[in-house]
Amino acid sequence: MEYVLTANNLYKDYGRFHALTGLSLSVPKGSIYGLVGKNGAGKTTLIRIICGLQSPTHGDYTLYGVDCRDRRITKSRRRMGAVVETPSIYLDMSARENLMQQYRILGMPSFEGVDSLLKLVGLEDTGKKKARNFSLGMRQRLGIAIALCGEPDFLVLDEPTNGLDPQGIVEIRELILRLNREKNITVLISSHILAELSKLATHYGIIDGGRTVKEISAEELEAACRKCQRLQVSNAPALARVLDGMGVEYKILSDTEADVYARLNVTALTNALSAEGCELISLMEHDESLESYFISLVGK
Amino acid sequence: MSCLVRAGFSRLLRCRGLYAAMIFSAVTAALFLNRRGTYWGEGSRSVCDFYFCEWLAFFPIAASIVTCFFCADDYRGGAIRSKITVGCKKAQIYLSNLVVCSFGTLISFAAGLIACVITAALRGAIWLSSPAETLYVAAVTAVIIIGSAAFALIFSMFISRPAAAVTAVLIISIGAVGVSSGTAGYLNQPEYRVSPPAGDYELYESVTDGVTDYDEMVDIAKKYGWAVENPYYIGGVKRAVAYLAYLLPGSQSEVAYSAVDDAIYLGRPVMPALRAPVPCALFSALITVLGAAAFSKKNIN
Repeated sequence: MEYVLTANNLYKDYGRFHALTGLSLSVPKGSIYGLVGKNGAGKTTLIRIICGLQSPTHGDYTLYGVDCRDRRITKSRRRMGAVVETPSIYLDMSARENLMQQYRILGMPSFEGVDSLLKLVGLEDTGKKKARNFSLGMRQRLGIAIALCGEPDFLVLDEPTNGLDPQGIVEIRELILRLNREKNITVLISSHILAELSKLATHYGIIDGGRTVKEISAEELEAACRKCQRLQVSNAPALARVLDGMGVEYKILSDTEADVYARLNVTALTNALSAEGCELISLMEHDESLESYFISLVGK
Repeated sequence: MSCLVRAGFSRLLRCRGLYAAMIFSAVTAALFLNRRGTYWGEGSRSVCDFYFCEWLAFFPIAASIVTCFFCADDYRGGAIRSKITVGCKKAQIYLSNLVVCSFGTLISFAAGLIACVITAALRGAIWLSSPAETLYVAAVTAVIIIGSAAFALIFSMFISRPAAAVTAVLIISIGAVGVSSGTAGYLNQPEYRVSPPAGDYELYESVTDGVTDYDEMVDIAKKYGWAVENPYYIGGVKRAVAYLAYLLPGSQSEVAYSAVDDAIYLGRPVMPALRAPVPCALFSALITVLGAAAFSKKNIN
């Protein structure tokens, strides 16, 4: 698999405070990578480091295969756009002027593309209205538009839906999905709103205490959070034989436990298990939400 | 970096600090020359370029206003982050800001200059400087502008709030100049003061003509009985402390200038007009390199 970003054992200290303590992750190309973590877990610190705003105390990362200490990293950064915490905008400029300013910084030969970017983020009708008079959602979209100047193929968004109303959240979500699907832009998005992230992300990196607790794909996470019946039996191989006979989907967890992804006739199951010499000890419905899965990993 | 400079120029015209500095510059120029107007004599055409040079002392303030407001705009909206994210190096951002802020200070200088000319014209004053002297003043002014912007930039790139940055620049610059020159003056008091008695001035001038070396002057004064012991003279270890002043960048650059001047000495000083600008330029270069290096290590939030 090709990775846009790989972080290896990153450390970042602010005086005596350790913001990152050996964080490692890999962002696959073309993915929407959700960076999940509690407040203070190190999400923003990681993003600041990969954007070049800060340097790691220890460890390294690669961007498009270029090491962070390599001089060519500045060229790799030209391929990325970012919105870190608050959108990077000039408040006394209009949306169009802000984009033109970013084009100048990038050294673009013309302002061709400004209008299409404004249209893409839905700010084409803002005219001469100054950014300071924009709503939070409009500022966020302008921030994303600025990040998209220069046609990057890696977009880093730090909690882009923070403080937005439901309508704004939907707009940003749809924009991110459109960018990923239509322009094939890899997106790294940090958030602690898991339900929102689950509607977007194809991969997750769960971090806590400045290090990665788990990296998991959306399919794996879906499987982990799937509704099921958790059975406790005296003999798991015997249970497997019975479930095979019943033609249901299941997953053996241990010598005595298994998850069954189907509605079960308890009487029929008990009889079949008795015939195999196996005892059914308990049966309970298991429904792990994204939140509970997250809490099970990082604790309360 | 040229892209950053170009982008900076387009931002500069929107910077409130530029207009504040232009107003400050024009008002101080007009007021300063008007205040001095009482000494210009009744109806006579008076000298104003001397006062103009004194007015230049206000320049660090104008430079601070332009620089601090310009840099604060980058911080306030977070635009500095988007510059770094797209691959601009922090040192490049620092240097481009120096270029743009120096230009901004030059514009505010122009506003002050116009105010000077108008005030002078209203007073009927004239410029007595020769073209060479005027060029010298122009060179000094340019260096002061860049030096002031470079000094202010160190603070404005680290203190994101313009009011706090301007205050810090003024307190530190006035404090540093006051404390260092005051301390040096106190510790460097001469052992003897040369005090020729009234009436002996013609003799004094004839025997000291061309003597610039202090020790030689004291020898002459002792010979004629004009040397008086200085009660404020400080000797020993305390006096040695005064030499620490030579470690200051300004002194170091003065020493460097003198070394270059001596190296190409052709029987007379060949660069007397550059005695002030060259150390100032060296000082500007030094603090810019230090500032850019420090900013490169700074964590941007």
